[in-house]
Amino acid sequence: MDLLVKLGNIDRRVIYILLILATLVPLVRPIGLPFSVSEATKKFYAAVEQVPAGETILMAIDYSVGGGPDIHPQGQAVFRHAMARGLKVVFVAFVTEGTEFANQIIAEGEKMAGKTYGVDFVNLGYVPGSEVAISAFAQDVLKVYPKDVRGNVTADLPIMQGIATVADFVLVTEFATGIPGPSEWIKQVGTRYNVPLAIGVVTVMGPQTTPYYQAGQLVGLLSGLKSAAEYEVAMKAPGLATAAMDAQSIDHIVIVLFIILGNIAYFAGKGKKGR
Amino acid sequence: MITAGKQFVFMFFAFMIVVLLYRMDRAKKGNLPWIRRIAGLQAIDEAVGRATELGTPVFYVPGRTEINTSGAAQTMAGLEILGHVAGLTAKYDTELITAIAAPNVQPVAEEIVRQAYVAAGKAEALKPEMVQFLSNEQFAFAAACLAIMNREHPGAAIMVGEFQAETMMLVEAAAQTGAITICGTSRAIQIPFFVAAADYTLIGEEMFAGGAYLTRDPNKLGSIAALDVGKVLGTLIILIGAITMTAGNKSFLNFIKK
Amino acid sequence: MRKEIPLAIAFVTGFVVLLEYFFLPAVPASKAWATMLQQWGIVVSGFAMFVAATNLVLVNVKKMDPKRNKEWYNPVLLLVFMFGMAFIGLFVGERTATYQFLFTKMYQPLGTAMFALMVFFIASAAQRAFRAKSVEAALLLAAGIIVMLGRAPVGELAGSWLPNLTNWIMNFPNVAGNRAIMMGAALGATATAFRALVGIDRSYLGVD
Repeated sequence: MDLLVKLGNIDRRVIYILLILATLVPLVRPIGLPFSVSEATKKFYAAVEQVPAGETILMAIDYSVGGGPDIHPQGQAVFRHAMARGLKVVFVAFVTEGTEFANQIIAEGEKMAGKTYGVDFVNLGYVPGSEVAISAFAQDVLKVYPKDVRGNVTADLPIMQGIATVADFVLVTEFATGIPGPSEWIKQVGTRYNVPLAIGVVTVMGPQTTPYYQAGQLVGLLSGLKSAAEYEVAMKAPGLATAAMDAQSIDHIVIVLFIILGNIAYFAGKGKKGR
Repeated sequence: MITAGKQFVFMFFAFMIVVLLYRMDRAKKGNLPWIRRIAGLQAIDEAVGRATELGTPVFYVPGRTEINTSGAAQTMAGLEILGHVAGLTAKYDTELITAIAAPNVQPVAEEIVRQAYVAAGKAEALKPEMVQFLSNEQFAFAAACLAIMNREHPGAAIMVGEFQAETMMLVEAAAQTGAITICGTSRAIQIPFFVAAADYTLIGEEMFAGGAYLTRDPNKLGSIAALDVGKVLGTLIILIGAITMTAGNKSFLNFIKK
Repeated sequence: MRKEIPLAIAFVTGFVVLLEYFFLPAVPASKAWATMLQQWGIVVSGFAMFVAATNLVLVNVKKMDPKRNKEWYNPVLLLVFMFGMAFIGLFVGERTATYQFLFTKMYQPLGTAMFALMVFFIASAAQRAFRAKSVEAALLLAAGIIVMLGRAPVGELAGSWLPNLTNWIMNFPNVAGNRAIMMGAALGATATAFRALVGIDRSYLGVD
């Protein structure tokens, strides 16, 4: 009994060390646990798949560095998919760090054969003002973004020909770690313009975003690193997200074990007190 | 005349405005609605009193959201409570540290604190440190808050507004420094973290009731009563929608889509 | 006038944006007015950043005095990095190796590390607070464990029932609860916004 109670009150540093090991070991030595692709991910994938080649989609990179590792692989996977399908991608950001993450995705695009900046993709950069800025951008893209991050006049870029409002994109995708996020994009773009909206969020925002997806306000929903891994599997191109899935599994098991241990200790302690 | 697809929304909006005006008018005539006791709001005076007795500051965060987003109402609720807290710290000569993450909340929070100190006749006690902009980057802000709490050991930490993933860090750090923690948000995914780690939590609408509850302002109290009417109406719409759709009738769906 | 002018600005701005949202076919010009106001909003937000940065500098310059602050070097570091990053971004360029180094090798790992700390906070809090003290707490605990395992690949090893159960929990009880909170929050936001627009609630100006 005493041992059980002690285990329940284990030093939190022990938990921390075990969690570090649970993350690092599977990353170094992957187990390769299989997993299936969720319906929400399949629909996001299908939304990109259905865009006719040569058409332009929007990718709003609204994530901060903190949640980056959980969501950046989503942005990378969707961009690779779009490039493989011959789509054009316009990047925007309403979170300061979004510009830099978009630059990182574009850097990969510039290494792809036959893909050119300004023709196949462009980064329009960050605009302050959060939801107000999203609304203004949706109404008049070129007015809010007269120049891209490289100083080019936006209206002169080949990729921007025919783009005046957000409704001119065949598909709008948004990736968010907080605010602005799903609620702002649904209100300012999804419900106001006749354009399909697909959203990627960090894991913790998944439950809160699901009602919008269920109500049909989103054509697809990606939630955290797991969805990125699923997207990679759907594309038949496993990448970093897929590799991280083992670590996530073992982490979850460790946390669940500690919760169970804490409960055993709680009841053991209660039994002891009762006697 | 009304944009297609927004006619029902407009009707709902107009109805809510009429109910709001009616309930506010009734409240002004003395028909104040009853609001149940909200432990988290009751505890604010006690928490500031405790910080005063200990000679430690009160640490306040009015959320992390800008004032021009859909989370603005939560920020405004946080700012309303900040006004009350600043009034108390001015009265008791207790140090106040307000941490700001959203640039456009900074001038508003400064003005609210300034007015509270002027109203208490303590304008000379105002300092720029009372309202500090830390960072608009989520975890830089969280790290700065953690540092302030570890350095200053506040006797009370009050965090009311819209928060994101930093909730757990902020509230755990406050608890570890021994502060009384009063937290509030209507962001569903963050409520469990506050409930698990804070001494008192204002859940969802409790924070919107904060201003009305603390100031007993008839307009604000009246609008709280109007919200209940809105909720009943919303529930009815959901019920009718669920029943008609289950029965395979789309007429109500088409009506609300108008 | 200190109160009247901001109240008038709030009312006119809110009115124009609502007009454009609901009555665009009747008042086509409202689109241009709303766009203009929103662009002003962007400019004001930019200036707010400047105001906030000024406050940050003022507070930290005061803290740089070694006689009054034992940790005087922290505000020095903060200001050096803040101005350094701004200078490099503005005058050297965001696409240069220096800026990229600062962003990808310093800023990004620091932010990520802070986010990663969450797992430790959550694990220790879960181990301490996640106890089956009552029937409700036991249900919460069971749902939490099911979702944690069901959302990770390891859950699929137990068979399809665990991911299916996870999806059920996420799609029904979770969505129902979230919708209820959303509805309450949306109504609360509407009331707060309306009170502010018509000038009944002036707490955001610092007055009740």
